[in-house]
Amino acid sequence: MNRYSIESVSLNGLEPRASQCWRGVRLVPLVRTRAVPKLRLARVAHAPELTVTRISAHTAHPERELAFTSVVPHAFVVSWGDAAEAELNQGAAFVRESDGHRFHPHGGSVRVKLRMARRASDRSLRFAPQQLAVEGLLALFFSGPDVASRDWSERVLRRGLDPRVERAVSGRSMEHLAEALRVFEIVDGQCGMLLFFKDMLFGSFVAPTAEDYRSIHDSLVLDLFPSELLEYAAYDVPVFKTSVDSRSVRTIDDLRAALAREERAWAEWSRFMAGDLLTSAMMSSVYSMEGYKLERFVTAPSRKGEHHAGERIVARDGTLAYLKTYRLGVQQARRAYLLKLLGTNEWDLERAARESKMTVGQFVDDLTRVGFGWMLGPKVLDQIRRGTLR
Amino acid sequence: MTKHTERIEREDLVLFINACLSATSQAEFYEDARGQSLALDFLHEYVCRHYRSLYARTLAAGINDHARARIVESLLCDASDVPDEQRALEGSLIEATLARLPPQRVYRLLEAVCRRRVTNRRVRALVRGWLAGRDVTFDSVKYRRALRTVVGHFHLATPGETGRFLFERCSKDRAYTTPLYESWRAAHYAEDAVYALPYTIAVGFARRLKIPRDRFLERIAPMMTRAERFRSQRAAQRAEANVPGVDLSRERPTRLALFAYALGDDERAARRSELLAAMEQSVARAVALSPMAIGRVVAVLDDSYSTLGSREKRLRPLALTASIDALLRASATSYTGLWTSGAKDAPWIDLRPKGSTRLASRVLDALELRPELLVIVSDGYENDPPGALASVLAAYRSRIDVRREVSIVHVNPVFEAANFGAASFGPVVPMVTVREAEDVVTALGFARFADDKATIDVLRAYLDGRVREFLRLDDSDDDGVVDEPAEREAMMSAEEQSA
Repeated sequence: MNRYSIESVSLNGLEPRASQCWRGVRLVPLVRTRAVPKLRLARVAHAPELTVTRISAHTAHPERELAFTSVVPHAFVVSWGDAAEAELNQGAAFVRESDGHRFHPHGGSVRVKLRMARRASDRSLRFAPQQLAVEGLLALFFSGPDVASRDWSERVLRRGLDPRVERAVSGRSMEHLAEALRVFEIVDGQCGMLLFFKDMLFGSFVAPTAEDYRSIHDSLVLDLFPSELLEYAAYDVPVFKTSVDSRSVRTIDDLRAALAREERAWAEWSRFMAGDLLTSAMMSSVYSMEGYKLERFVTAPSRKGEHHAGERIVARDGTLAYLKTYRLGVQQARRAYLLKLLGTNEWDLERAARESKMTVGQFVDDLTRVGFGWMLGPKVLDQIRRGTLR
Repeated sequence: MTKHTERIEREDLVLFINACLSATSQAEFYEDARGQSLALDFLHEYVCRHYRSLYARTLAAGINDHARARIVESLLCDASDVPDEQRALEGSLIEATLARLPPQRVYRLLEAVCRRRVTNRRVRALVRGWLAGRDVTFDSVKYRRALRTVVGHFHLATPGETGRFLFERCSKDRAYTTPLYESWRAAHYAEDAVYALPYTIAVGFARRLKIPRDRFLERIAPMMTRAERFRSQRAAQRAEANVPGVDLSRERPTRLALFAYALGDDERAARRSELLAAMEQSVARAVALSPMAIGRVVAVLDDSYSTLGSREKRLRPLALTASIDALLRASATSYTGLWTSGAKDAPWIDLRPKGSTRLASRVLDALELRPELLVIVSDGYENDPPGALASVLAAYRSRIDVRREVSIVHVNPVFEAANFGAASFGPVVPMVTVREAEDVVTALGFARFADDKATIDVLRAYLDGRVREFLRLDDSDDDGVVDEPAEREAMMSAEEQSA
């Protein structure tokens, strides 16, 4: 992800409504205030089987071919144009029937696909939810140092960050999440939702239309979450109850006004809670459709704070048509932060350390702690051994 | 001090009776069956140990069959150190209860008693007394397994061929002289004999003999009880069997609403006028049976997504809410029903569970109409915004309607196991739970105890009144009991024909 622009992700054209709580899970419905015409989204369920996706489809050298291996439990099909709904059906059917080749080695089942985001028909596109987001996270400064230096190991100089590993857990293993989604009462006109565990934003999803949202709502349990969420999920949140200010109430109209004030306060609160998602994200474009852009992003990593990786479709006027995010775990955010420091400072250890207000020693420590110790070159290792690194 | 214990006692009992009105140990929208039955078991054990005399009296309080059977079971299985006069009262209450419970429930209850290995003079006398009122030949065919357990466990005498029928296997060459037993034996081999058996037994034989569904349903129709006919009418339709139509208006309102919601959209639209008319008649009959004197009523009715119920109780909360709406409309002098989805006085048949539970502003709409009685029908999970209603009602009571001119009752179609169905909209609104629309009469009568005002003595007096009424035993109001004579009549005529 070396070509990116810094943008903010905002919930343009959507409005939060009163949240619904179940155990430790708080779900905030998002209702559309501005319609996104000529765009539809649907879900195609796959059997959860190993999927090998070829990244460079047109290489003459099979050995140089890059592949991306994944288990994709379902895929989204997005379609656009005047006959979006018809395209959607056609695209979904195409994905269902003829997507990829299937092999059955040793009694298992493996599917081979051509590309990650791929056209399913003329005006529809198939992609796996959160795959773009996670891929964006993994590809962050993936190529490694451009200039050879004895600060860095042979391996990172030759092959970049390959293999880059991050771990996440499925929503299924999350206590109460499936139950919370089941008992959630979908609001009229709801097109999206923000998901909080212990009042921390852990995911978001927006669909183009209410109908699309309804059909996808239940599958949100298949989303990925950072593994520390397992701990968060074990605790209950305090449930905030509305209390109407009754001091100046004389008539039913007064009471109604007090209730309206309270409702506005709830909406404000939801907007405030969702606020942090939405500042400076490193955005890169993946695909453009008529009037819409499919983009992926990672919020610009910083030392502290929460970070999200995500994918979105926006209209030209900035209206959010589709959004799906993955919250980075603390370690993941740290890794992303360090990589960004290195990437923006041309992999110069000293400059990167200076920018992060650490000594080189602390910076190297940090790298080791997050699992990047293998990147360090002979010069740095030598300094560590002799204790001359400061 | 005594005042405090009295309050606790009253609260415990109100909680318990509320649970007995609605809970059936089945899964609900927000809770699973296990949680429900654990909570219910605890409540029964706790109340039986601490307030035994009131526990027994609860049998008369118009509670549901599941709870009645459970209470009888606890009373029979744990009767050590109970004083004699209490024993006598319990005996007559149990006897009256058994007479009103549908027979299948009584048999299930007796089986439970057998499983708990309880046998003593009192239980044996009760069982003997109850069986004396039954047609044992018929029961030994229809409830063969249960009756065998009971007869074996209590060492009861079996007249004539009953013993052989119950305890021996069917054999090809030893015929019975009792016609019904003989039909049962013959049904193992010949199709014609199947149609002389009760429907539930015949179904098994029909599978065994691979009788085509349409032919079976056509010929077994005279042997069905009304409930069975009602239940199987969709199956008959699917099998294209030529079965006489069912009179929908004879169904109880809640079951009728459930039936209507279970139909496909097209069929419901096609039968719309028929269903609406049937509901009107059904409600009219319910009102005639137990009239309510209520004046200007406004109801706030919950049709949010959670009224979908569970897999075991599909759409029951919505059907119950809809039938309560119809019942109140028929009873009150003036009535307005406000649904949370925004509909006002909507025909019940068009409703679907949808959207969030937005009660507070609807309740304010209702209060603006200045009713005498405000009924809130909801499962108590308010989420848009959460907890607003309790706060709004508290403010209304303390600031606007200080003299309590409007009485407010929260009717809950769902028993909430997590906190034993405790009041969910705060202390200013008494909550009662219901299972059938007709229970609203009981519920509204009972609501004043759920309020803080009434004392335990008033509750005792109320229960005593219900007990006196109950023991008079003049009208039996249960489906099963009403059904049985029709079934047996059909059986007689079938026997005559074959003879």
